[in-house]
Amino acid sequence: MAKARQLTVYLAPAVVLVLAFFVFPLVFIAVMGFTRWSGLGAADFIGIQNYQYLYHDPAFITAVENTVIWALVGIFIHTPLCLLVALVLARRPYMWKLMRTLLFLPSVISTTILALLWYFMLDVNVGLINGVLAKIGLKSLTHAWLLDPSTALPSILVPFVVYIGFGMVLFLTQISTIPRELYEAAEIDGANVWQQDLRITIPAIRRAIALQALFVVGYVLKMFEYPFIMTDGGPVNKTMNLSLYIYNQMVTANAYGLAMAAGVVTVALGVVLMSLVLLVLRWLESL
Amino acid sequence: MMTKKILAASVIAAAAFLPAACSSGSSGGSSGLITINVVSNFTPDIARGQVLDQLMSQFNAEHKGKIKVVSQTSADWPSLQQKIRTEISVGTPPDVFLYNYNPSDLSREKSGKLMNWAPYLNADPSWKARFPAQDLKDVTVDGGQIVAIPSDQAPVLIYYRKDLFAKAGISSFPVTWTQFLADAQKLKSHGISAIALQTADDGWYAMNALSYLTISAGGPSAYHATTLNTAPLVQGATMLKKLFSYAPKDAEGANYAVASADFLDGRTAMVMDGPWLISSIQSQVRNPCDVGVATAPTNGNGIEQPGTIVTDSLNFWGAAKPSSPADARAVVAWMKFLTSDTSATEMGIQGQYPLVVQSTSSPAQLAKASCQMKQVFQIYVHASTRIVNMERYITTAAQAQVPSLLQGLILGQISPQQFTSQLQNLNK
Repeated sequence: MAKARQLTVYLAPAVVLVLAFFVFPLVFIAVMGFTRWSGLGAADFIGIQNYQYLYHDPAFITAVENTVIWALVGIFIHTPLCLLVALVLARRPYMWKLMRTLLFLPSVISTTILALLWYFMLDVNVGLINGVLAKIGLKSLTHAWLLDPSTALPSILVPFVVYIGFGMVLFLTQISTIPRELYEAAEIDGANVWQQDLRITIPAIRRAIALQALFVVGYVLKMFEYPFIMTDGGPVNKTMNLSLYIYNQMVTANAYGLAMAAGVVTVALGVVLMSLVLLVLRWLESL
Repeated sequence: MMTKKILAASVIAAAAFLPAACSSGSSGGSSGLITINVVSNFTPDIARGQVLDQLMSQFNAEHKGKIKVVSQTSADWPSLQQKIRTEISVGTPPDVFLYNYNPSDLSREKSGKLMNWAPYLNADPSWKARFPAQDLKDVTVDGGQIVAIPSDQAPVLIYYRKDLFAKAGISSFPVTWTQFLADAQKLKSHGISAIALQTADDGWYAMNALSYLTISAGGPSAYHATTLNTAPLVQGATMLKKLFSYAPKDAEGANYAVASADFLDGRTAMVMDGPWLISSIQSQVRNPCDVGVATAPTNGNGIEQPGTIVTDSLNFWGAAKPSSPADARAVVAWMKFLTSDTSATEMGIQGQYPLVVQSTSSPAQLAKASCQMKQVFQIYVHASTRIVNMERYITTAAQAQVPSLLQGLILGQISPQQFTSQLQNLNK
């Protein structure tokens, strides 16, 4: 009895914080998603009109599609890239520590700064990319990367893909816990480096891979800086994502109810994506 | 025993935090000094910000020990407006703040959280008479409450670089749009972009151009806050698309900073902007007086009266409901000082920012104005009609979609007809 009471006392602050900063806001958002509210005055209950509007809004549909694309790129391109680099660095090649540090450095720099950096690198007039292409005789390849609807989304995905520091360090940490004896035994059996990675390393760190996939999904759901700074969701909403859509509805359109409905959809999408990742992990573990 | 220790620690923590949470408010300190926080985008790096700081210093000196006015600025106007809106929403509006009036969105005026200036204006008829009656009417809400004081309605004019014009062999500013396009072509053939435009942020430059083009096609009533799906607006949108072909490559997708830099750095010959640009012209253009000011061209068919100008939204000074009569008197004293003849003249001439309040400037004072400001005054005073930029008066839902609609128009994804009908549909 005393122990239960102690437990309650220890857990109470955490429970209060979760209720205050997670559960209550979630309930508030869900309720306000059924209202029309400009942020001032009373909110008018309008039923599911906000959700009907979202269903028919091309900008919102594009935002959902793009968010899913971001998640897929994160899981199937960014994460394997983190893994590949981690596998290479785990073998401790020449200057591996320097490479690890350099690759991790962008992770400690504000995403806003990185987005601004890439915005200027991809600028049609003064951008480094176009400048280099022109200098090496490839002026025909220069392009309005961020202004062309066909290249804008891939362009803003580039920094997301290449900044692999966090995932790389996560994998490196997990790889370092694998007993060396396993590799020695495999070497004796004639397995080469890639076979060792495929048969020993990757299965051993599969939970870290799943964790990285979950981090990536959470990250893309709240990704805001790259589309906001680099393209402002354009051209013609081609790079719009859910976070930016919600921001636009709240800050520019003053449609708080609609923004909150979009927020509810974002949470639902996040639950679906994360559930899928966990289901796949469970299936892999059953193999 | 452990439980008691935890409970004791919680009580101590609560006792430590509560006074910090409860203490607030910037006015009415224990010494009797009333502090007024004035929130605006008059940052100290630009002329109007420097003049505001000077005026505040002057006011504070005159009311030393009784009233102190403090400036809180943010250069990011949309974010500032959102912050103010949020603060009004939670019941803690700034003491005094600058905001843009939009007849399609009177939520701030009707929030019930703003100071009623009517008693103070009515008690001082000479002060009240210095403001345009219509402006005061615009912010009069239920019960005859006047909830804001008119500040400014900046004229949007064309600033053009005479040096680039000369380079292209253009001797005078075009008076018709046909001439404008011909001159734009001349500039383009000399490797100079004719006009700085943007679609990002709020598409300010593009919407200025669209407003002027629409008025040229249909006269002063060519668009209205609630009527956008008009033939003149379609004509205006068609012409706007043409103008973008004479803008820099990065115009589609450019924000205000990029587009204004195109002009200030000499890559573009013209820009449609407000008088706040003059401060940047004076500091960044090598020979500032090489930049002239002109009204936009017309179609030359008499539909638009010469001297018609487009303006930015009417901006107002709002204030939080004062917590005491002393606070109210302090805020009124500051506002009367800010809108006095001397202050308004100072703001107009040195601050490059004309206010709507009547002011008289002597020839000697006008002589101190910059070369551009003299021209702005001349045009503004003699303007036959002043029409607010259409984007400032549409609903916020429509404003949010302006960038993507402009981009769709320029990229050919939507026709001018679709542009106007979509804008109309969103404007609810």
